[in-house]
This record gives sequence, structure tokens and C-alpha cells, in this order.
Amino acid sequence: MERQASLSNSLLRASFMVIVLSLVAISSVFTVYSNQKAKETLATDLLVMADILGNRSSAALIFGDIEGAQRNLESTTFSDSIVSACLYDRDGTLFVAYFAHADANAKRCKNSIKGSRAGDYQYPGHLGVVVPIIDGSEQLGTIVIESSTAPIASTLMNALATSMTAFAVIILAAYVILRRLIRLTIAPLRNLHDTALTISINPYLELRAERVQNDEVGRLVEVFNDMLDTLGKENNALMNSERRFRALAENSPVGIYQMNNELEFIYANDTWQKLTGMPQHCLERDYLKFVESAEREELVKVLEQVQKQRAPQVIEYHFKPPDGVKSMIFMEHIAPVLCYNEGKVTVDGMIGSLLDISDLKSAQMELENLAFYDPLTSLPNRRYFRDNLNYEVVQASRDKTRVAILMLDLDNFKKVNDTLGHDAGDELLSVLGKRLSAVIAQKDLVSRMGGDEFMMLLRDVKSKEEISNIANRVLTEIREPIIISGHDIEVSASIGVGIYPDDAHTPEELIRNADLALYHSKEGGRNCLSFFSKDLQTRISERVHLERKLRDAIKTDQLTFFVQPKWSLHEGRLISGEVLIRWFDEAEGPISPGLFIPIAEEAGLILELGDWLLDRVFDAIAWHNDELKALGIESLAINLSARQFFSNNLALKIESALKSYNIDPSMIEFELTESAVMEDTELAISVMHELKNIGCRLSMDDFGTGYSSLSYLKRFPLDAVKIDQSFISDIPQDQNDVEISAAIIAMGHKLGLEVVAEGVETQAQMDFLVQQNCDYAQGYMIAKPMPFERLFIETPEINKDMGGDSNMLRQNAS
Amino acid sequence: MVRAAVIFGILRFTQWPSEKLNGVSLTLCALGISPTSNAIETLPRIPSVAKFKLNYRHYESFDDTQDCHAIVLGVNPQGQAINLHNTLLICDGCDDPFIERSAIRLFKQAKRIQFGINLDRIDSQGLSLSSSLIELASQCYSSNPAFSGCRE
Repeated sequence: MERQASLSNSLLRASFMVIVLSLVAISSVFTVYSNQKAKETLATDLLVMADILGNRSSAALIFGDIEGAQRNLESTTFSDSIVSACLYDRDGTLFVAYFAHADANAKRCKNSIKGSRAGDYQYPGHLGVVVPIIDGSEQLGTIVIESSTAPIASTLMNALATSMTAFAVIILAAYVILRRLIRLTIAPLRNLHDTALTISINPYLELRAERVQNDEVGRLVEVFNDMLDTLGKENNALMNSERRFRALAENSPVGIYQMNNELEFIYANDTWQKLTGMPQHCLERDYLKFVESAEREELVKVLEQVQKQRAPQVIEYHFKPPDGVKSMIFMEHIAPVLCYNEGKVTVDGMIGSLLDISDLKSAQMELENLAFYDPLTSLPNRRYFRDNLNYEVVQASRDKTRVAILMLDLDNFKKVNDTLGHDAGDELLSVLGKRLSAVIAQKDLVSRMGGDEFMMLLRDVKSKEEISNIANRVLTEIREPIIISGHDIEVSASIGVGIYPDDAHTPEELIRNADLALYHSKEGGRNCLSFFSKDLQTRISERVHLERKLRDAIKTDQLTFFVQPKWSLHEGRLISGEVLIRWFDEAEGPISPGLFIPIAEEAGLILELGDWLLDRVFDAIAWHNDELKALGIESLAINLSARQFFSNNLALKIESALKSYNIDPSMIEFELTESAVMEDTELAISVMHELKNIGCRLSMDDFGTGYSSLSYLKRFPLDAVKIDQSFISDIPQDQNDVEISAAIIAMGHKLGLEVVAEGVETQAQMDFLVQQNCDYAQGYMIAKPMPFERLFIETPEINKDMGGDSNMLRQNAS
Repeated sequence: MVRAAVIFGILRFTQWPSEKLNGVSLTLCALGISPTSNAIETLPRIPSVAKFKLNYRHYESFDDTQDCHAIVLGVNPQGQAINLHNTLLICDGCDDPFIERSAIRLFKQAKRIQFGINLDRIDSQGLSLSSSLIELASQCYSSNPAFSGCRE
């Protein structure tokens, strides 16, 4: 056991050493000083004595009285130390000598001291003085007195002995006093030590050291107590923190554990135990047994990394508890417990948190599914397709292969939705999705882009023929009837094809061009396939060019309108006219409405165009109202596009314009196409009623070309139907057309509607219409579309030319 | 010569009052015939005594000795021995009554020149002698019992 040092003993020793050394030093100095001083005193005494004796001997010297001089010198016997006195005359010759006692070492008086200097001299054991005897200014002689220094030494020895004795007494007294004093001084330190010892055993005690005095020790005690107070506060804070942590850990919904460097679990909260089904104190190697075998190595590696790199790590792995049925997915966050000691950092185990993310993972997968898959058809969605397309284009570029995309759009899907409902529409899409998946090869991709649009990605295509075969198979599959909600549904699709790198350099361009090809398919009658081509692109360029020009034309008022009059078969005159928009471009000449109207619709200009036309027609009517009335023109019919028809507040806009131009609403007839109103029949009925309520007439254009059902037809608040010219043009050769036209006229009349026949070009057609009691005819036979102003000139002539013929016809018919 | 040396020695150890001294010289006078005057007169020069220059005069009568500091009285000095205050009278072979009036008396004993001192005379003449001189004196007289400087 290590011997414990004692501060009091150390202090005592130190003090003693200081005292002893001090005493020795003092005594040494004192001795030397005393010795020196004694010698000096002796020398001084000798000098004085020599002076006195010299003075006293001066008479003897003068008088030559040897005896007298001898007597004088003998007076030195009073001094034990004086060994000799030598008196010399003025010539330095020995006059008289005296020797106090036999001293073998004392020098005899010299016979002559001529040349000797006054002063003192020494030789071992002796001290002498040479003093001239001066009387006035005359040196009568010299006296030399010599003394032994033995008495000095003797005296000093005595003094030393006395000192030693005194020192011994002093040291003893000092020991006793110092011991007591040190004890008293150390007592507070001892108390401090005892308090510190007690606190070190139990740091949580409220014990404090006693402050006795207001000295350095007292201040140390004060500082110590302050330190204990601070320590106490920190301990309390630590305990509170520990309690909070424990409460947090115990009640945490996350599994929390602590592991030592030997990978033994030394703490695990209840949640961890419940999650893992493992006991609190177990080894990591036992825990690993329940980790999925393929992931064990990774977990071990992570633990090693945490220890080596002293940085937290996160890992996910599958874990099947000992008593568990199914495997769970755990997310574990592991962090090192770092200890800071003497500037070094060491790892003292690890602390971790464990979370069961099984549900989260499922949700994540579901979200991923949602992110990349269409929930209705379970096909990949637009995002998935785009990602794959981007990748395949890069691959094809690198491998010098071809990639084709087929953009597929269902024809008239909206009608199915409107007819059978959205659920049926969804089911249709779902069934078609499965068919498309079945048709396409495994290496290729089918995705639903949204609505009724699908895209197919064909990898590594060799030829257009291959693509056509696939596309045609697709179209055939789609056309196969589907039974939905007890209904037999038949749909078709239009496909546009784009091929990389032939038709585009980037995925975006490829999609755009496939879209153009699709549009071309739609234009071409649907239910077909179109490949993108440069011509198509040219056409598109032309369309873009035309679109730009159309915008300018609308802005700069380059458009105009013609009117094609309608002949009343009953009244034998022109009774109304259809407004037809015309565009005469300065550079390109007349541009067909068949060309620029679709462009306007695609470019979103149709509303603007429609508004422009309404404004112009209303303006014309307003200016020429009287003339029109005089001609017997009762109304002008304006075609409304579907976009215009279904636009917001159409009726309000028209009513406002009519009022603005002060036009009788009955002068305006709106022609609506059958296909337009069937887009949203309920809304169409509503808008029609609004227009009817204003006072305008309504007629259905191109009747017979759409697929409106008769149930809707009877609900539409129409004034007339217009038989499409396709049914008139082959009359009387085509019996079908004859029958159809006759049926339409009869049906129209049955429904209380007037019937207008379009495209009447021959007399035979006119005769037929008269025979069928059709109400109105429109066509080249009556008049071609003409500028509005020409109407006022042409109408009377047409009435005149056609009037007689019509009478005759009516007579024949009756 | 020894007598002269003794006289000179005596003069060295004698102190006169300041009013008697002129600060520069002492005057030694001889009256009558004495061995000392004979000795002094044979000296080639008169030495100084301490810091004083010594003047020697040989007078026949006391009438001429007013300036003398010390008078060596020999045989048959003339005149009245008056006004001798502050003057050291040294008898060297003098006769009575001068022996009693002298402060110092030289005599020869055992082939040595010795001297005796009458301290009372010294005191009456307003003089003082060095103790060293007193010690060397063979004879010494003082009526003061407290004085123990004399050997005898």
C-alpha cells in the first residue's frame, strides 16, 4: 500500500530545515562577523593601548628612562591576550621589550623596525599593531604591541557552544510550537479533505466543508463549497436529464437500445423488446440469427463502420422475430457513444433506434405504384413511359437501333361515357388496357397516358412493316366487341406512329410527331394508322404558317363573309341565307374554310373567329335591315362551332349584341352540327333553350351524319334540321339516299321541325324535294355563296328566275 | 647633555597657561651656574620642544626673567624671586630657599640624572605636568591625599 505523505510532517520538516539552516547561517555569519569584529576590536584595543602606552612612554623615550618604559610596558599584563610590547626609539631601534608570558609562537621583538609601516598585522594566532609615538609633530619612537587571538577563538567557541545550546532549545521550542501551529493551520484543510472524501463516495450529499477563517484556506473552502454547489446543480440537472431520457426511452414508440463494444445489448426499452421479440440482454450474434440471411453481412458491416468511423449509420433490413409469423422491415439508426478523456476520443459502445417500417414500405411501394402506374388499368403511366422512352432513345442512339412509339387514341370514347356512364367508360379502358398488354410483346411497353390515350413503345424495330403489323393487331383487338354492363360495345382507335431516329432526334420531338401522325389518322377518318412523314411535317408547317396568317387576318380584318341564300319551296322565294366565312389572302388568294376553320379550332382561334363573325353579321344586318326586309330575307343563319356553342355565357353575349345592334332576334338563326351537340347533350339542350328564349332560331346542320339518338332529337328545341348534302347529292340515282332523305323530311315534320336540304344542284333533286314537301333548299342550283352586298342584287333576280319554275314544280307536285 | 635632555623633556611635558604662551616659542632661562646651563650652552643649537621654538637665555638676576617660561636655577642666582607666576622653576644645584620654591629638582642618583617634582609648586605656579613626566619622576610630592600619581 502506498505510504501516504503527511502535509503537516512535510511542513514541519520544511520549517525545521528552514529554521536550522537559518540558525546555522545566522550563527555562521555571526561567528565570522564576531570573529572579524573581535579582531577589529582587538586591533582597536591594541591601537588604543599602543597609543596610551606610547604616550605614557614618550617621556621615558625622551628621558631615556628604560625602567620607566619597562614599567609602562609591563602595565599590559592586565590584558591576558597581549603577548609582547616592543618600544622603539625615534631611530627604530628597540628601546625596551616586554613579553607577557612564554608563547612559543609569538615573535620576538625585532631589534629594529626601521622602514616598518604603522598599522596592524596578523599571523596565525596573533594580531599586532605598530603605532608611532608622536609628540606634536615629532615622532619620538614606535610601539609595537602583539596580542594572541586565542582568547578570541576561545570566546567564539564559547559563544558557539552557547549558540548551539540556545539553538537546540529554540529548535525544540520551535518544534513544539510549529507542530501545534501547523496542526491548527492544517485542520481546515483536513476538514476539507474529509468533506471531499465523503463527497467522492457519494456525490449527491448536501455536505459542505466548514469555513473557519477568512484566510487563504478559508477562501479555498469557500471556492470548494461553491464548486460543490455547482456540482450539485449539475448532478441534479444530470439526474433530471437521465430521468427524462429514461422516461423518453421507456415510453418511446421507437425501439431504443444500447450496446457495448462487445456487441452485447446492455439496455433495450420495451418497444425494442416487443418489436424484436428478443430479451433485453442478448448478444448481437443471437440477434443476427433472426435477420434475413442475405442482409446479415450488411448489418455486421454497418456496425463495424460505426465503430471505426465514429459516425452514425442507417440501415434497413428484414427481421423475423423468434415467435413471429411474418417478416418485418426494420429501419435501424446506429450511432457511436463517444467518450472524451484527456484529449482522446474513444468509442464506448453504440446506441441505436429501431423502427418497424413495414407499413411505411408498403405505402411507399403503393405510392411508387401510383407514381408510375395507372390505377385504373394497372398499366405504366405517362411518367413511367417518358422515363423509359428517354432511356430507350439513348440506348437506340448508342446501339444504332430504332425505337417506335404508337400513340393510340380511342375514337368517340366520350360518347360511350356519355351514353353508358363513366363506370362503363372506366371498365372499357380497363379491358382495352389488358388487351393491349396481351398484344404487345414482353420487351415492349404499353402505357396509359390519360383519358382514352395510350402509348406503346416498340424496342428495336426493324421495319415499318413490323410496326404496321403490330399496330393493325392492336386496332383489331380494340375493335373486338366488349360487353359492359350488359351492353355490347364496339370501339375503334386511331394510331399515330413516330420512329426514332427517322422521324425525330429527341423523345419530345418523337412524341410530337407521333401526335401529328395520330391527328392525321383522326383526320383520315379514324380507326386507322398513320405514320409520321415529312409531308405531314410540311403540312404541319403550312398549318402553322396558316395559323399565323389567320391570327393576323382576324386582327387586321381581312376576313369577310358570304351568304348562300335558302329557297323556300313553299313560298317560291329566297327567304333566308346561310352565313359562310371567307378569307381572301392577299398573297395566297382565297383560302378554303375547310382548311382554316379546323386550324382555327386547333389553334384556339375559333371563339375569336366566331365572335368576329357574329359582330360582322350583326353589323351588316343592322345596317341593311330595311333592305333585307324589303327583299323578303327573314333571317340569316350563322354556324356555331362546338367550342363557341359550349362557351361560357354564349346566350348572354348574343343577347347583348342583339340589343346593341338593335336586331330582332328572330332574324338570327344558329346552325349547330349534330356532332357538336352530341358532345354534351344535356348542356347542349340547356344552351339551346337559352338561345331560344332570346328569340333566335335553331337548326341542326349536317343532320344524319352524326349518331344522335332520336330521344335527344325530340328534346332539342330546334326549329329546323338540315339534311346533309351527302344524302342529296346522289338523288335520284341512289335509292338509299332517296329513302333516307324522305325519312328525314318525314321525321322532321313529325317532330314539328322544318327541313332544309343542302347541296341541291339539279332539277331532279329539286323535284324530289318538292315532292317530299321539303321546306327549304340550299345549293348551287339556287345560288352559290355570294358577298353579302351581292345579296341585294342577286335576290330579286333569283326570285324572278326561280319563282316561275317553282310554281310549276308545286303544281306538278300537287 | 643628559641634563639638557632632561630639561628639554621636562619642558615638553609641561603646560603653561595660554596667557603665558605666545604660541610660538618658549624661553628657557638659566640663572646662576648650573650643569644644565653649562650643557645647554655647549649645544650647537637649541632644539625645539614639542611645537615650540626654544629660546635660551642665561641671566644673572631674577629681574630679567619676566619672559621666561622656565628658569633653571643654579648656584647664586641674583635678584628677588618675585613675579614668577606661570614660570617653571627647576632647581639644578640651587641652594635653599630656591629648592623649596622650585617645582622640579634635578639630582643625580646611581649615576643617573633623576628629578623630583613638587606638585604643590606646580599648582601654585599655575602650571601642569604630564602624568608621564610625573611617573618618571624619582620623587614626587603633593599635599593632596587624593592624588596618587607619584611613586613616592
